[in-house]
Amino acid sequence: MIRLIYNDTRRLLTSRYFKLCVLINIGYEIFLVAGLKIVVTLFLHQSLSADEVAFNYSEFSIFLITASTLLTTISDFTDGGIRNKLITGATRPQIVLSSLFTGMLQGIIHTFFACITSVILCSVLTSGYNTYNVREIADYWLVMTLACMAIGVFSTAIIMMLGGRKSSYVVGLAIAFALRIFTAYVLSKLYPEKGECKLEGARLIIYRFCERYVPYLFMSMRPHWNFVSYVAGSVGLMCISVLLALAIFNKKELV
Amino acid sequence: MDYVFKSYDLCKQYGSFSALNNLNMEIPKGSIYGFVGKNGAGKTTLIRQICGLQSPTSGSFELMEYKNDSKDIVRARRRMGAVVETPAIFKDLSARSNLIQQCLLLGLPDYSKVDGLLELVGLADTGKKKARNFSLGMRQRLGIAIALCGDPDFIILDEPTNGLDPQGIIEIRELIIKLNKERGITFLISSHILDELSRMATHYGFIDQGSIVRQMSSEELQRECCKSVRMRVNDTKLLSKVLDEKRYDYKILGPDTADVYEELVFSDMVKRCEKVGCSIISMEEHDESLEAFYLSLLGGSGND
Amino acid sequence: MINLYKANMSRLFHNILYIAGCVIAIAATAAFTAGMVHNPYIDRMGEESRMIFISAAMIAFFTIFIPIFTNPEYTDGSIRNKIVSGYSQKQVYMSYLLCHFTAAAVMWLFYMIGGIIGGARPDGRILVTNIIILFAVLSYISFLMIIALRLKKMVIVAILSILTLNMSYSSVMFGNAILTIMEDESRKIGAVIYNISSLGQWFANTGFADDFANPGLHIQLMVSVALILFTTAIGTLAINKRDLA
Repeated sequence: MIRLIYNDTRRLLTSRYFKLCVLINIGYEIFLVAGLKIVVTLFLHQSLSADEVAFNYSEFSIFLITASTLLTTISDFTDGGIRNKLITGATRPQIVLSSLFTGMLQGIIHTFFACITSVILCSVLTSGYNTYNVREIADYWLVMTLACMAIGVFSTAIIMMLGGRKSSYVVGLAIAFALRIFTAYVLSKLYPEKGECKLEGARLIIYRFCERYVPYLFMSMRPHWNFVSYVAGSVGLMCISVLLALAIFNKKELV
Repeated sequence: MDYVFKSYDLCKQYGSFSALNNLNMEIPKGSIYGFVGKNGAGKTTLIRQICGLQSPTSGSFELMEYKNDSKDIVRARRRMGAVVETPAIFKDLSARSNLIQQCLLLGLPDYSKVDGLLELVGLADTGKKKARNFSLGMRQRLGIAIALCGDPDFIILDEPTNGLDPQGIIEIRELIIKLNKERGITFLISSHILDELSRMATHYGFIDQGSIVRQMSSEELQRECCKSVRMRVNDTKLLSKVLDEKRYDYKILGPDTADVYEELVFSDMVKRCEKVGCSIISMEEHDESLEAFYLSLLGGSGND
Repeated sequence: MINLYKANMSRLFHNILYIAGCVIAIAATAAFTAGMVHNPYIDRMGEESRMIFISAAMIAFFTIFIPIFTNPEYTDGSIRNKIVSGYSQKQVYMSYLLCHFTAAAVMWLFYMIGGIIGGARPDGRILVTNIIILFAVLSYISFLMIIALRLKKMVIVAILSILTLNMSYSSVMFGNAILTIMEDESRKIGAVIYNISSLGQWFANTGFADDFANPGLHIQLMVSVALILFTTAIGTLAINKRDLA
């Protein structure tokens, strides 16, 4: 198992697709902050506050991590890597767990790079944080790391379950996009621009639950629930992903 | 002689690597042309040029008398079929649907030939099974059936027996020979299985490092590979007199070497040669198998 | 090229995903237009507006369908059969483009039937608006074709297709905000740029966007046609010179 994890991790870190995704991640942060700085300075003649740019990673990260896990994991099916692993004696559960581990690792690494880039750019290009203190910023990035780990595991699990089929290329990304629309809808219901939340009964409970425990949703807002909720939500999604992937992959016909 | 394909100093560069290097080749019409070479010699690159998948860096070729840069080469391509490397089939369609697709592409008015083609390649009982679930051999057969759609005059097969069982290899060989004899279809077959090629090819082209090393007919190859006695003498002109007198089949290789394709009695030869003043330096049996001939022509190393 | 088109259409009409898409188009449009899906915003809309609202699903459908249907030309290698048969890569591109346009038009017809079944009045205004939506979908498809047939790796095609959808959505949200701070001439130009995205045209016609986001049906149509021509030109640029493995 350790050998398998080492192999997959090594393959991930040397993968040019993964490196490309990290560069895109850093490039996106630079583009966003620098772009906003130009617009705010030249057109609005104001200074740019770090509060406006420091927390934009969440929306981009969902797509980035899903794409990154797709690029690095799908080759196991297309190039026959899974066959090699089975031939060398790895069991199916070991293969699944190792792949999900690398998915989780991708979430951590991408968030790390986004955090470092964001902190550096905010220090250099903005007038600083007006509303948030260091503890709140740290909380945000910690919650983001947890959420991105869960998303990495979930999107890798989808590939493991569907791998080898054409649908595996699009399902993960389509789910990410659909959840993005769903997130916008749920948050507009729970926190309307004008007036108060008018939801009640089962709908309110379900929406609150999603906003509090589903990583795709809670990462879209500044952390305002207790830390245990975020841990529970991330770990919950990871556990569900692991169990589903194990159950389906174990019985899957491999070509 | 009519040629289906002729190339003139054909070159193909991939960056700094020359895949084809001033390649000059002719494929006679009505022949089964065996295309032989090591891995990486340029066989598939040439096939891709002929099929129009890639264009040459320099040089030109004629395909059924149409030049490669002529717009009318499309007409030549409509009269050919090809299986290049892996068979090009839609994996989510059945064998029948794949052939119907090809018929539609070629603008054939009906699909009456589809069942006949499936029968011909041994896929008549696959029903609605998707090509993704075919074995390698079945995919190969389907690829050949697709190449046969539209009654082509020229068919290119890149390793056609790859993945086939012995029965399948025999069937495909017999099919190729039958189509060649009955319909006059010209075949270009690239293969590593020399023994298999020798059972059907009428002409051969040996390629190495992007150039044709040798082209020959099957009779010429037969002779090269035949059992012979290689004689080294002081003067082959004198030897010729002796051999002509005996009406032996022979070939002069140089001023002092000749191959004699007969069973020779050493003592008798010595006496006869002495009479005409010819000294025999050495006589040895020379028996070249096709593989040995190939290795001697193209070298034995570098299977990359 | 007619033969290429016929071959593609034959494959299309046997494709389970497309057939399911058409069935869902008619069923979902009918249900949505008839008001079976309840939501405070949607309940306030009339049947015609609800019908236009659900049309965005066609954009999402083709985002998934085009990579799955088209890219096997490279992954399965079937483009080789077409080239060997004498067709050029440009002809393959154009035949696929026309095939997807036809697919969109057929799905649009099912959508229209579903809308009428659901209670939308088939008058001139709704017909013209839906024709604009159709052209917006066609312009989106012609952009996706560049990705699907100029790139050979299925995974990159899938990522870029969904990224395109993502960015269209983001540009609409962002564009709404930007347009409110613009004024006069710059707002008019902004509105035209906003309508380059097919989701922008869709949003402007649903009535959710502000009035100034809609530059007029004739402008929207011109933008879509121009985009189709431009993306087709880009997609076929030097395509015949590409080497195929």
